[in-house]
Amino acid sequence: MRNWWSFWLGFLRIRIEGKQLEKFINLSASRGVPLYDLRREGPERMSAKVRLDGFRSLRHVARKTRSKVRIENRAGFPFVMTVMKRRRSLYLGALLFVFTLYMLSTFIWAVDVVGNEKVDKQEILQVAHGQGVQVGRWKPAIDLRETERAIMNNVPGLEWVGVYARGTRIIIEIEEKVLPQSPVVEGGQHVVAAKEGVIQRLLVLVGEEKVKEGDKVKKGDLLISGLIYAPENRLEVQQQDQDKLPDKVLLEKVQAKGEVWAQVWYETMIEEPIHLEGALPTGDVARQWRIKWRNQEIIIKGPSENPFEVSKEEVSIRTPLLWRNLQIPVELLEKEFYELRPYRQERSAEEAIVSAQERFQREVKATLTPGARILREMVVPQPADPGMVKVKITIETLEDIAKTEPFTSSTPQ
Amino acid sequence: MAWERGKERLQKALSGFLEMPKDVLMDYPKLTMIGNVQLVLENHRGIIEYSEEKMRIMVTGGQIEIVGEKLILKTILPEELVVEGHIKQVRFDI
Repeated sequence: MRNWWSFWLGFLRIRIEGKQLEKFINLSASRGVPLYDLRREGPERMSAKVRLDGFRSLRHVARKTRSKVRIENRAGFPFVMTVMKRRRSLYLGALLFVFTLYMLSTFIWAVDVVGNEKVDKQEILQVAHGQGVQVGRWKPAIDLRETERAIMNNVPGLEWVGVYARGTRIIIEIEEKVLPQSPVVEGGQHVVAAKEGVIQRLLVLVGEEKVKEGDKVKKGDLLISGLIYAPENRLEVQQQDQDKLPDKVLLEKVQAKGEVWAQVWYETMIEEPIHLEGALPTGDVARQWRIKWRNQEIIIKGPSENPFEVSKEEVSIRTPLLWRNLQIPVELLEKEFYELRPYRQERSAEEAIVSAQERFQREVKATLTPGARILREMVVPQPADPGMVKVKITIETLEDIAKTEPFTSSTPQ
Repeated sequence: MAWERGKERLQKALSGFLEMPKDVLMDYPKLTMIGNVQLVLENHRGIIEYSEEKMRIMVTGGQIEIVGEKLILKTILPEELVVEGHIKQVRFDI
């Protein structure tokens, strides 16, 4: 602390010569001029450090003790200043530079919107603009909390807004409201069959059923109608001639809803070789690096030729970027050879059938709706070429085939 | 003289009674030593002799003599002084 102070005040190393050096020390101490680092250099000589502001009063002490004081060295800020004064414009320029840089950093240079997917960025920026958040404004003059509130209140569909400054960049971070998954359908809708099948159970929540349990339906058939007619008219329709349709009294249009559980069959014919053949990577890799310039290629590292008998190769091209979009017309190619080992898996005919069955099961399961279950599986072997198996696989499932469809499409009414 | 002695006795009694440090009340020198390399002396009355080997310092009621090698006066303030160097002896002539 004391050193720090003495640096700013500046201090001198002085040499004192005289016969009454002890008296010199006592007098200067009692006058309140502290001396530091006193060193006796001889019988009539010593050196000491003194602060610049105390040096003036040492002259009286020196006169009283009849000693000579000579300055040996100067150090500290006041002396640095005198050097600076000679090159004033240089230091002034440096100071101005720092000051300008600081001033410029207090302005907004960019406004970013983060986290918007559905909400328009321009809309948010416009509201922010109204609050003063725009490029070129002075940062301390804007209220970020107030901007947050303004965006929150004026832009619909936002759950949370955070506005913060990172350096000269203002980041508007938003979190959008998550709306319910199923979109709200305008108007009424029917329930139609999504797959072909035989109806097992019918559960109508809203609407009028058009099929019975046990009916066979095709894909796209109307299952539950969203158009409700007056009941007496329906009776009349049944009683009257079929070709003469009376005006039905439409009571209301509803959004039909319900579950239609049906038996659905999936059938396929699979032909599979009994023994499997293929190639597997051994994990051995050889890498080759090339430099490509126009039409010339030079191998700079790695083997010159593919060292493996059976292999697979991959080439990746790396184009070095000098700066942003500035490219150099040299490409770096990395070629990788993966060694493969051929294999042959001996299987019995039964094993081949089971694997084919499992494969088909996986395929079917991928298309099933949630809640569906497999009722039965039938595997019927078929005549096949030698070395092959051929099977007909039927999978019977129970699943909900209800699918909603708005009125606009051409469904029978 | 009698008055001086009375004052001294009163001060002694007071410092014992109030449990105050003697250097504050009675102008005794307070010495703090760090090993044999540094000595801080508070309440000094001036320097009598100063060389690299020997230093004599006036204190209330007498002198303190410091003997050593390469002694330097690190700081000297009106009330306090710091001696650094290779200190060998500190003697009181009180």
